[in-house]
Amino acid sequence: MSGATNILIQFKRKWQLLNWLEVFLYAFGIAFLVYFLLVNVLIAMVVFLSVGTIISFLIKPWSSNLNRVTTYIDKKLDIAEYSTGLLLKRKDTLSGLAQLQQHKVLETLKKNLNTIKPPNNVLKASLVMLAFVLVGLAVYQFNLVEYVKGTSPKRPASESIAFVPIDSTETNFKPPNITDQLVKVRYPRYTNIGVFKNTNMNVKALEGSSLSWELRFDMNIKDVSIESMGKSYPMQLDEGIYKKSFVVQASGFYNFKFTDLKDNEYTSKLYSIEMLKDEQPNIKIRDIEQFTSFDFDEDMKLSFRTDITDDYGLADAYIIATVSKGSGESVKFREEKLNFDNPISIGNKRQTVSKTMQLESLKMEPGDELYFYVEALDRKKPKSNQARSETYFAAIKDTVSDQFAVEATMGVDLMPEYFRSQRQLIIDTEKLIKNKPKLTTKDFKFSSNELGFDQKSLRLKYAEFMGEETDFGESIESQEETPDHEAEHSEEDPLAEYTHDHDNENEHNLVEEKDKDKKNNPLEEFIHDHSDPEEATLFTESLKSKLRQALNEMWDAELYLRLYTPEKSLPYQYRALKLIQEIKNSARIYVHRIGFDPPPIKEDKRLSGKLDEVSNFRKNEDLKIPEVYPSIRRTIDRLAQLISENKMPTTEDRVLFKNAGSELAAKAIENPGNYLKTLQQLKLISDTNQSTQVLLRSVQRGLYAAVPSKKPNPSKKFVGQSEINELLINELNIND
Amino acid sequence: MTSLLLFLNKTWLWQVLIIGLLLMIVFTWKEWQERGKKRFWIRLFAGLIAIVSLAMLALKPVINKETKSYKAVVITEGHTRKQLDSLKRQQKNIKLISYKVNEPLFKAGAIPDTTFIIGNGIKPFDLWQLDSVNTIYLKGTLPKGITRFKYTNDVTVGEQFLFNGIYQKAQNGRVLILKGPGGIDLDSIALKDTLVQPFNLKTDIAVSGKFVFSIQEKDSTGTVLSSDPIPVIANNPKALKILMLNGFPTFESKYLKNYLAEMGHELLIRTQITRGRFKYEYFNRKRAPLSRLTEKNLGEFDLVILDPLTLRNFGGSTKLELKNAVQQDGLGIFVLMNNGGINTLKSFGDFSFKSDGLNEISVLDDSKLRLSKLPISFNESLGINGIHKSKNKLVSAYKTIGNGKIGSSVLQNSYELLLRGNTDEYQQLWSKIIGEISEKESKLVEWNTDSKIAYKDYPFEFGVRTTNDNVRVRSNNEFSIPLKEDIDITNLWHGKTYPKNLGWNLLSTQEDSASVMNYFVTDTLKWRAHNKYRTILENKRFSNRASHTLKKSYISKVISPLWFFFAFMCCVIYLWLEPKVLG
Repeated sequence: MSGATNILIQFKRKWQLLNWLEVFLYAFGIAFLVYFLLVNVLIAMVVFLSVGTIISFLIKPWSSNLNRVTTYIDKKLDIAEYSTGLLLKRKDTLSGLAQLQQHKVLETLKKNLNTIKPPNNVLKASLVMLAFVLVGLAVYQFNLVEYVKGTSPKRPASESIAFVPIDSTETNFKPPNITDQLVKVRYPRYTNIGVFKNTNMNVKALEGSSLSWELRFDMNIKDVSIESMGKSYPMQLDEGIYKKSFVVQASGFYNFKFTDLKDNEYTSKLYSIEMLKDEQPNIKIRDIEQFTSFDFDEDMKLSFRTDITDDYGLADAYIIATVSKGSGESVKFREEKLNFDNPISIGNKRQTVSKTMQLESLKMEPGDELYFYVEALDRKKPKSNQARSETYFAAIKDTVSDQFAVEATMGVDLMPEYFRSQRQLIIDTEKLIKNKPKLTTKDFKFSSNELGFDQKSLRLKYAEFMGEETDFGESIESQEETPDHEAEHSEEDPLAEYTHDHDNENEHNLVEEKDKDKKNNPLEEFIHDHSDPEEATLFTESLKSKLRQALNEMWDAELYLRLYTPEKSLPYQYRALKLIQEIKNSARIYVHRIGFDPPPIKEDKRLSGKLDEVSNFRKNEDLKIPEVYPSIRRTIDRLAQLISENKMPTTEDRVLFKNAGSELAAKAIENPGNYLKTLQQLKLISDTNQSTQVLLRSVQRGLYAAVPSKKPNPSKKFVGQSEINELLINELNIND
Repeated sequence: MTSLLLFLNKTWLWQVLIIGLLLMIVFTWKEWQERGKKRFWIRLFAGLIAIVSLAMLALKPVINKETKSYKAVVITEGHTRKQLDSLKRQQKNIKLISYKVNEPLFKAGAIPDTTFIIGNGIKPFDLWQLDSVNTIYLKGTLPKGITRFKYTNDVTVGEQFLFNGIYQKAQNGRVLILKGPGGIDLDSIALKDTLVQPFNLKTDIAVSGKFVFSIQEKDSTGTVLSSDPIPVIANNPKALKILMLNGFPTFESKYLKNYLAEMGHELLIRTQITRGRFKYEYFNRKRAPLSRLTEKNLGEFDLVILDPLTLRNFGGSTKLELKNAVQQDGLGIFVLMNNGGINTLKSFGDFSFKSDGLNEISVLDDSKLRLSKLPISFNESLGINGIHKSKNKLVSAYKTIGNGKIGSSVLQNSYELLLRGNTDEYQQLWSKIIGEISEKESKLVEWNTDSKIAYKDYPFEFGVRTTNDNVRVRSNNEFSIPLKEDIDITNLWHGKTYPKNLGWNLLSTQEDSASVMNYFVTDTLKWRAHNKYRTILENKRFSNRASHTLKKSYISKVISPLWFFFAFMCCVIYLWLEPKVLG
């Protein structure tokens, strides 16, 4: 009986063992995955235990008792003939047959029990565990946790602050490590930008931002400080976190330095702070010409739109308008500040505002001019950035304009504004040609004719210079009065046309009339008559001929304008303009020519004055420009030596490197990005003795790139003494 | 090798002769009783032969044999199959010798009368083996790469560093890059598909020190194909001591003065204010009186800059002192020319001018920059050295007088360059003029060498020029190097060393520790094309040397001792058997 029970108990134990194994496999698989997800042994243990408990309650490995065992064996083993249960019964309680059967079953089981296995899912559990382990390994290998988490990435190794002991004599000591590092960038309040948190210690921040660093170490240390531009700022300890805040005022570099309890000093590599400038607002004025002019009877309304943008929001924008009255010495200015029609919403980064101005409301009158520009301010504190647009003009045309009169003296102001008119004419003509398709034939012809008239008046005004005013001058002003004029003219001798003038000395037209006047003065051709306006030599001869040419060109220009063919007229106008400009220029040369030419100094008078009070003068000065970046230059040389001799820097070298570092930092402030790497490396080799050849070469390369090249400078050269040379020179001198 | 018979154990000759003679006497005494008989003479002869044979066994005689004449071809790297085949066709029974560096070419006694060298040639230090052989060199294929280059390895900071070279068999897509300290890229050039591409790379030297620049060859994918070192020693410029004498102030002298003073040169300037009154300016130096210009007073200066007016006003003795200072002490004189100074300069410096009618000229790199000048230029004649030349017109020149120089320039108002903003060009212009004319410091010891780069374990030859008769040169302050005086020039010494350390090495003289030569040692993997090219040149030169009359070559051969042994045995057997046989 006991032998039989033993067999069954053994089987039961095996069964239970397998169940427990199953539980273990499941629990281990899950715990393994958890470990790789969280990289924490403690949590993994807890998970292992709890999962183990849960699964064991599910599987209940303890639940298998001998009854279940017998049932199971009966089910699986046909040879047992459903009699395994007999084995549990005591022999004396069984009948003879039953005893026989019990014995038989016992023998059978002894032989065959090995062929069956307790019911289990060990294989399945193994597979599940394997799957968990694989997933865990994959997660660990490919860092999927960070990928999935995303929000709080584990800082990459390159970002974490690596401290290097300055004095590394005690290397067997485990140095303190940083567990948490953080830099908070708080932009100035006006930007309405929240706080950035960053684990990367290279900071880019807007001017005026406040930066605060937080560092947490894995063991107690003595003190931590931030070193920046040669100064050291200790960090305050607050609940195990070292903190320090700054307001960004300029670009620069910094590094951390800490001392542990054993007074070992550690330094981090160099990080940059790049200050971003708050840009000034950008103003764009639309829908208006730079110069607008109104006739006095027009509706004098100016309207325009303005696009204003700023990188961190606008504070204000307005128009500064200046009205000028009068001209010359009596000009008066009045400045006014105008607001836009729609208000500026403070803090907007982009805004389009418009303004309609009534010139009358600015108390402008004909002849007055308005200058205005837009000014915008952003929200920068304490002093906001101010930007202004280009200046725009508006003018109300004057109804009266001054007449030009040639001054008798012909001063420097020889060329009045008339000369601009030809250019204006050309512009108008071109405009007319351009607008031809839009205009009706009548309008076109009218405009062309008008231009012709303008051309004529211009020509006449130029003609005044030529002394032709009598010929044409009046004609324009009194065109309508022509009949009167003729009448007036005829008044001289109203009967002349109807009479035969017998009283005349030349009664019978024996001699041609014309000759008479000329004979009055036979010398006329040979004298220079200043009193005769016709002969007035206002200009030199070539000038005169040029002006004549110009007038001729104007004639032709007018002709074609009057023929309604402005296209043909243009070439003449251009030629006229060119000639007029040449005249202008030659006039300038005339002014230039009358400069003062001092008489030459007589050589024998020089140095012959009294010299009693003149004494020798001595001056002593050091003008030598000091060498720029002396330490950088010496460092490059020293590095070449170290690299070539394959040596490590000495303490003296480190002092030199430090000096070079501060020189480079001063240079690098303007654009830290360029030199940051070199600075970091320079710091590394000057603070620690972790130099390698590659590092030294890299530093040398960086420094060489930073050094400006020197200016050409003559230098003392060396020459070897050679008997042969001396002989040759002597020989040459003898034969010379 | 005049006598035909020699003994290998020449030193034992006397001892052997004496012993032989004694033996002969003993033998003759032993045979004396048989005298008068015919036997006596025969035995005596046999004894003589035996003793002589014995003596010969001891002395080991040598005979000189005339060798057979034959031709050989030394096959070196870079030869072509075709070359060898055609040589074989032409010269039947030619012996082929393949060249191994630093190993004997021929077996002793088997020196050919004519040797062909094919391929890139044998190393210069192995050429001595062919000293007595007619050598014909047949050039192989030219090596690919930088075969020739030229640069100054001793530069002054602020100067431009120029590397000129010739690239053989260039390929499209390849780039040559000049690398500076730490491997910084300084200049580069793209190669084109040509057989011979000359190139030049340049950079400004900004820092003093001993640097190893390098020239890197990259292919189109950016792979570095080769990198060869260029050792460069950059020295800081040494300030000049300049005396400037102005008859009256000019802008030219004012700006020149400012430039030189800012550059750190020691300047003493005397400008005449009026008769007998002067303005003295001292820049970067102590105040010191300047009374008379004597050779002694002028001794401290490297350069005197003066204007023709000052020169004209000098008395004859002052002029003589000036000239002596130039001739003896190597002083430089620069005359700031102006319109009236031509005749003064003609008489003082013996310059001659020709009129060219040009009032403007461009002498700088930027041909758009034109400088005003006097409408004359220097006549080029013997002794005139040009400084600035443009279109065959010499505008700045100097003349060597004794140890020193007198120079001038017809350029005028060069300060306008400064006013126009061309500061660099102005400085270049004057830097060149002043650098050329000012006094050169003479070195007690001058080093020279043919190659700028030495190779580890390969001979590096150098020359030392010194007036010291007991010059001793040490390598890296450790070993003395034996020197050989030049046959023709007494001041010149030649030496040869085999550098052991890579990198910078040092040669110094024992007497003057300041005068040293730094040379750079690299391994033979660098500058391969260049070295091959040099070897080719050396071989060419060697084969082109005057062919010498062929001497018959002999070979010394020890006569086999067996012959003497046999002779001895025969004689002894005869002497032993003869009495027994004949009774």
